[in-house]
Amino acid sequence: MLQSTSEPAIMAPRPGEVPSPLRLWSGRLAHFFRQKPMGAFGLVVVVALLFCAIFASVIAPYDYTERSGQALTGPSADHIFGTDKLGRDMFSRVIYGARATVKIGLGAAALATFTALVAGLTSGFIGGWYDAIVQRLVDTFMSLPGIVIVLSVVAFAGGGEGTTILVLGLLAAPGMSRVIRGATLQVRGQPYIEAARAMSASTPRLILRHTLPNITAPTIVVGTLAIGNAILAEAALSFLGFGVNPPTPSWGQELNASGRQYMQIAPWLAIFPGVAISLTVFSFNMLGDALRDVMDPRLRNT
Amino acid sequence: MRQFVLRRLALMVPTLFLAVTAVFILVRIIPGDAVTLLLDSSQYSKQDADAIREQLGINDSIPVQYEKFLKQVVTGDFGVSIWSGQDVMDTLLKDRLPITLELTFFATLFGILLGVPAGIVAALRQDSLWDYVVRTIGIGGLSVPGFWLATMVLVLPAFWWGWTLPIGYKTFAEDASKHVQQILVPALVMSVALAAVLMRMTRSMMLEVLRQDFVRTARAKGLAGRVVIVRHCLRNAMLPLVSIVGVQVAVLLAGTVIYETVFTLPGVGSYLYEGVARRDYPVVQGVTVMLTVGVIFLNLIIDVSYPIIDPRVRV
Repeated sequence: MLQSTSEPAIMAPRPGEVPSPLRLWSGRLAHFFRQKPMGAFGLVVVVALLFCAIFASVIAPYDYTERSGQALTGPSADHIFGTDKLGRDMFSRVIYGARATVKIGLGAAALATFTALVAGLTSGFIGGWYDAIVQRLVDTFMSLPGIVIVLSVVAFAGGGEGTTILVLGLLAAPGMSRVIRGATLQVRGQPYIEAARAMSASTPRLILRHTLPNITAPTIVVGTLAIGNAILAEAALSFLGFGVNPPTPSWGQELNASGRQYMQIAPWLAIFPGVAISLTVFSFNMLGDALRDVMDPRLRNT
Repeated sequence: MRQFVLRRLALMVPTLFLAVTAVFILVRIIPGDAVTLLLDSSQYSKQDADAIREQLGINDSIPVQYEKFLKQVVTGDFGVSIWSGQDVMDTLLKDRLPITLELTFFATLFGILLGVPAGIVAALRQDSLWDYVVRTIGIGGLSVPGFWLATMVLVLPAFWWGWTLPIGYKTFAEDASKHVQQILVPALVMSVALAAVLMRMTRSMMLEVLRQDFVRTARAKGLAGRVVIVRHCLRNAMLPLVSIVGVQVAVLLAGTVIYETVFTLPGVGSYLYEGVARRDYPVVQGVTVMLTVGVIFLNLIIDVSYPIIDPRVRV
């Protein structure tokens, strides 16, 4: 991929020629790779993660429940990450574990982004007492101890994927809505909003057609960072035993304390899922940071 | 100053009220019946379940439940644990809280001692090797999940040298050396995330302050380098640092759920974990409300400390 970046021809279409969307995007991508190598690294890992999640059954050499070898054997040619206490292939379990990570990470981040957009856009655009009330609520929610609330909800409603996505999404939304509100306030003051209003555009139209498209950059940035955080939270929850229900594999669950006696004689059980979580979260953070620098430099240091 | 504190205190009342209401709503908005789950976990009979329903007041309408909940919050009386039959608030304050406070205190201390000096040195020697190390840890430390780090600290020494932390919690009076190990090792692991955040923040704040005119003036009038750094730079970089430490201590406090569970320390966090695992609702509610109130108080303390650190904030 890096080789194609050295050809400037991709970047500059001949004058008068409208670049095809494919060309435009490959040019942008090449530029991104050169300008932000760490962000590009993150992007590559994220793509690889999605690939693993979608094609887990093709990539993994065994099924995640299959007892394909002897219990607790170290990394070998047949089982490159070793086997667990039931003789299941750890590599396959880590690959399949990407599914829970992707599903919950993307699900929670999508819910959080949508909620934050609704709250941030309306709060920033409408202003007045409505804004004051919403911001008070946002303050309150941001001051709650996140993981404690999540556990509390799980105690009452039970764990599982749906609950996890719902709680993690709702708890992440307030912080994100702050950023979106800030961006909305900036757009609201622009002359084109005034012009649209002068043409008697309704408030919903002003928000959806004129403001929303102009705050996509910060929204994508906070959304990307939210995925990383949601993945970390899901891992912690599954680690405690309240996230994804077994036998569905999840990286956090592989590290669950109930397996610690095995980890002490077979540390590969602890190493690989942990590396998978760290690498994934690191990649989303790097990608988010890079996107922020590229798309919206004003947001730096937030 | 006194007026400032009093006004902050008054403002806290609605915030507290909103926060506990938010807890109440969040817990009930998600579908699922607590007692059905209790029955699923099959430690209880049908009669138990009815008695517990009665005790928890789940049969009541939402407004009645809310009223009862508020009453519990105000009086601090969350009833007795379904599991052990002991008073929740009593257990919390007498047995659990001291351990958690000790753990959080040392974690904060280690975090500051590791993070702030490292950040200062990185800023003073920008783009040196040390600076790169600090920046890498500053980003990487936030991506490594704390529970994994904790697990590795328990697993790897056991695998390599057969060494484990002393099993079974001992108070300081019972066995001082075991107690010190049991608290300090987890505290050190907990401090990593805080240190990472502080390194990053200290570095960027110091870089900003170092470019200011008054620093040049201080240097020009011949002050010793150390004095310039500590009195002129650090003092000005402190305000954001204090607020970061405050936020992070709140995160640490909530994080004790994970660390105390991993290191089997009988603190507030593991009390919540046990409560959730056993579906012991009075315990869950008691701990959740107490931690929420604790975090809000912490925010108040940070707010109030601003004008002490930086007189410019005084209104």
